[in-house]
Amino acid sequence: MRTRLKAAWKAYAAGYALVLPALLVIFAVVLYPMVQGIRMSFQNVTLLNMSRPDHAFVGLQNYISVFRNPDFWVAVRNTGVWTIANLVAQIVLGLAFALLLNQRLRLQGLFRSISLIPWIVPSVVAVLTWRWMYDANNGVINIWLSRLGIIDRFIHWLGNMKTALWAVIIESIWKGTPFVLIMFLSALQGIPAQVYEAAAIDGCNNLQMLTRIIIPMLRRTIAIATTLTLVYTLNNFNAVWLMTQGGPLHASEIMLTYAYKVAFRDFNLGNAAAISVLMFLLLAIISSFYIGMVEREGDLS
Amino acid sequence: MKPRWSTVVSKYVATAVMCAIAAFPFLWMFLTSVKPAYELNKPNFWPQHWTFQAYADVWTTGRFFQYFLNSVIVAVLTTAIALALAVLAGYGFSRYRLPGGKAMLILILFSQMFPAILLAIPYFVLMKKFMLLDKLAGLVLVNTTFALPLSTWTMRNYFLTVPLDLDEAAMVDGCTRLGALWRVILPVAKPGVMAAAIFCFIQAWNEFMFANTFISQEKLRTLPLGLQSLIGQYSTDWGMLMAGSVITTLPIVLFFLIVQKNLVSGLAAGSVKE
Repeated sequence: MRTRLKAAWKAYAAGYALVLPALLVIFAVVLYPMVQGIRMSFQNVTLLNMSRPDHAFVGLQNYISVFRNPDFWVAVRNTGVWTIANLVAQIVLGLAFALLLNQRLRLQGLFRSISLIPWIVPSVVAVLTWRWMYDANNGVINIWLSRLGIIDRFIHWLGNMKTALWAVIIESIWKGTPFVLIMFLSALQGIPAQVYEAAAIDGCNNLQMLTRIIIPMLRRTIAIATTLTLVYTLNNFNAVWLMTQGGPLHASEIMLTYAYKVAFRDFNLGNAAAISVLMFLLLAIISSFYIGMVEREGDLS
Repeated sequence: MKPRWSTVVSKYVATAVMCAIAAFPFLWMFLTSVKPAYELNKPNFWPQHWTFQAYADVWTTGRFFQYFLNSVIVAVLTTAIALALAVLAGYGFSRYRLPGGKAMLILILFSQMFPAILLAIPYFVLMKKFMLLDKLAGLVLVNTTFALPLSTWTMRNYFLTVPLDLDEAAMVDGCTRLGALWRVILPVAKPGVMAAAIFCFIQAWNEFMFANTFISQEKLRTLPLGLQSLIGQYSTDWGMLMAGSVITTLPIVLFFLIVQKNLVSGLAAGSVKE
């Protein structure tokens, strides 16, 4: 018995030694702070007392004061619009463009590379470039739209309550779609040509081919792309922050930017922690779907 | 059966429109950066006069030389640390069936899905405590954590494709475990290492939220912070801002061209969407 344990330990010790450093870092820099963050959501933490070793527990007070603030509910509503619009547009456009690029085309490689540009450009750069294009005085969108006669005077796209959120959503769709496109394109390349041929012989038209053959075969990819897009969209700080900072008057505020402001502008760290715990719950549910899918794919054995 | 010409034309038109939308902001960034200031409010696409003045301005008076250096320091250190840890862990996960190994892998994957804001708040408190606020070292630490999960998965998946016989042969020849990894396995796994390294670099290079929260000194700004600082409250020099954007983008495009082939395969498990 003892020798067997010893042998087993010997066999695994080296393995544990190899993975330990990475795990320690993840524990120290992700899990421990995360637990701290959750704790802080039940404590009274402000700029003045944050360096002290312990804070008074206040029960659900942070959550209650967050729920009582109408700004929070504006952010929740905007987060819903923001997430759904991004998700639907990115999945639909990503699939449509992947189908387009999966066909036989001259210069196919060139078209594919160009379509990936938004994904490669650093997100801060992409956001600031769009901010310049939206500019109220010299932006190319205003200049060209008014030349075409579509608008009769320049619109302050990012400073207008009605347009700000949608302007940011358009940038985010532009930036996020290519990633979905690549996922769909590589899945489409996995469908053998015989499948299409057989369907054509059976008299499928193009629409039936899409709804009865391609979409069912891409079900798994659609599910993975959906979860990843959700996680990314809920975590997308740069787009909103660098274009509007959630303004004007919270018109483009999402939960993430709202939590950030409560934390680092008002320095009400307890309330901000409560908002981020709520976001965490949302993301945890979504990620557990994703992890379940990776697991079923047999990627873990 | 030959497709009708109208189908062929509409196919090309649709593809061209899609590519135009994808490429336009990128082109516009570059064209703005080479136009003289007085041309910026004109509707013409191409510059009437080409100038690289904005690059000179942003590099020296805009202090982008300093910011570029800071970004390089942060990204290189992040890559080195994350990669070293990821290679060891990825090798361990691929070569040993560890009890609890599956749970650890799931935990690593899960840690990448956290809302960054949930970490930003305790980080702020902890970094203040450990005097890491307003230091590049603090950024390296934070970026390493966010680069580590993906690179560990990438390395593990790559090592799984390297046959076990190689390790055994090396160990029969007298190598230790680490010796086998260093002398035999790593050279074979070079494409995987390259892909993981470039992922780490890009992640650290592009990071904005934590830098914006933790860095307040001007001389410690990274490139994304430098770009943000060019936005003025009342007016913005867009020529300079776009020149700075081109400078920020160039290294990333370069790296992308190097790993283009390995990029897509690492995506599914890795789940980077930035």
